[in-house]
Amino acid sequence: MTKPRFSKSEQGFFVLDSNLHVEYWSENMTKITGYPAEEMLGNDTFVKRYLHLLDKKKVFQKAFSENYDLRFDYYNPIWKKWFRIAIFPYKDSLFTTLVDVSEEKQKFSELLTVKNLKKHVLNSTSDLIWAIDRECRLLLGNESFFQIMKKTSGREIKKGDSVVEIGPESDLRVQRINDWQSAYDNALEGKTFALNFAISTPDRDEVYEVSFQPIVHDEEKVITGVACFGRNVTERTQHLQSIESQNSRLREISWLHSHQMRAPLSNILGLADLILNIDDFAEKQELVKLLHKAASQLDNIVLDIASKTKGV
Amino acid sequence: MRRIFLFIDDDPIANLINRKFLETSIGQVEIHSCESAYKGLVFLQTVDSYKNLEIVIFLDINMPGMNGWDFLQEIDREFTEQEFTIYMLSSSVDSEDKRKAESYRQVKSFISKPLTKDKILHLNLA
Repeated sequence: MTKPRFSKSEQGFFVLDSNLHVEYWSENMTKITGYPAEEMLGNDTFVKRYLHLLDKKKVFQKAFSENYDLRFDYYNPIWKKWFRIAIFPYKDSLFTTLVDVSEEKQKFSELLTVKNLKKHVLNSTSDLIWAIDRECRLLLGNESFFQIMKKTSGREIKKGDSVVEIGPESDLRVQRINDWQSAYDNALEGKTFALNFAISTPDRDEVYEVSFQPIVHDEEKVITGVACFGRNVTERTQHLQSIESQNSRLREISWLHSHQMRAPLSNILGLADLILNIDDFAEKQELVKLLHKAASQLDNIVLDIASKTKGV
Repeated sequence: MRRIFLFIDDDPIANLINRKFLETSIGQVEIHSCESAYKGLVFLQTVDSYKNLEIVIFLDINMPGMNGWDFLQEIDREFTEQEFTIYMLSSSVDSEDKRKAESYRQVKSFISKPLTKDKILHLNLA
């Protein structure tokens, strides 16, 4: 047997003959398994120790009978470790390498967890979350975003698609897309801001408050895209409108106070002043009648204001 | 010089009060009362001659149909030759109305109702 070429790496290396007897067992194999070469060489120890673990796949027998290379990852439940095993049939022997890939597997699994978590976080809200690149192509979007895009445009949008593409839609929609385009342009110039957008779906019209945030590359300090966050503020907007309408009714009432009430009131003041300064009895009687009339007018206006205030 | 006082107010009680105060303040004078801005315009059109005649107008703001502001615009358009002495006389306490009234060229001042003897004497009409 020639000197193995694998000893300097972390990789273990061993050679099996057609009886699955170990012909060569590298130092790394001893390091990995804890079994010295003397125990393993030229006897059934390998079969006894390992074949039951690999029995299901019958990989070694298969490698001999079908004469092809085989690579697979194998989890050792006792050591709680992942090994990447590669088998190369050569003449009447099986050259086998083995390397511990537990760390790599662990990182991969962590990455999957993070990816999964990100997906769940993004989709855990009915708010719209999306991001675009400098050409207004979609980089990512959460499920709410994809749903609303489908409802408003009638077509599915995928990552990489333009979010400001103008199809054969109505003028209204073209105008709205122009509004979006100019908002994206502003954000791509580095501005951070929020705007209200009307979004019409076949079911209803809604208002979203959308915040635009430039995405700045950490090292190069250039703007690479825009991150957007849309919140449905339809109810809040309607609420504001109802407050506005209430305010305008209150203003009307206040106007009534200022104008309509003051008209008879100023008459009452004027008449009282006259009555005090006139000596003629008959004329005084006339003025008192008018005073009474003016007071009734004032009373009617007070009643009118009271009834208008009821509904506010 | 002959002088005519013209009260334009849709409220007959207000017109009566104004007339009485004017009479008690500056004695017997020539007074006309109109219960709409339109009637006021008609009156001004029927004046025979404006020669040696001063017309002093007390004008209400809020009136149905043509209001005080409309009236001011009309006389600006229709009576380009004549000069009037106009006082806005309103029950409004809206400072915006006062500001607006005083922005009109023909308006001498804004008077808050009711018209009283003191307010009339203040105008130095006697």
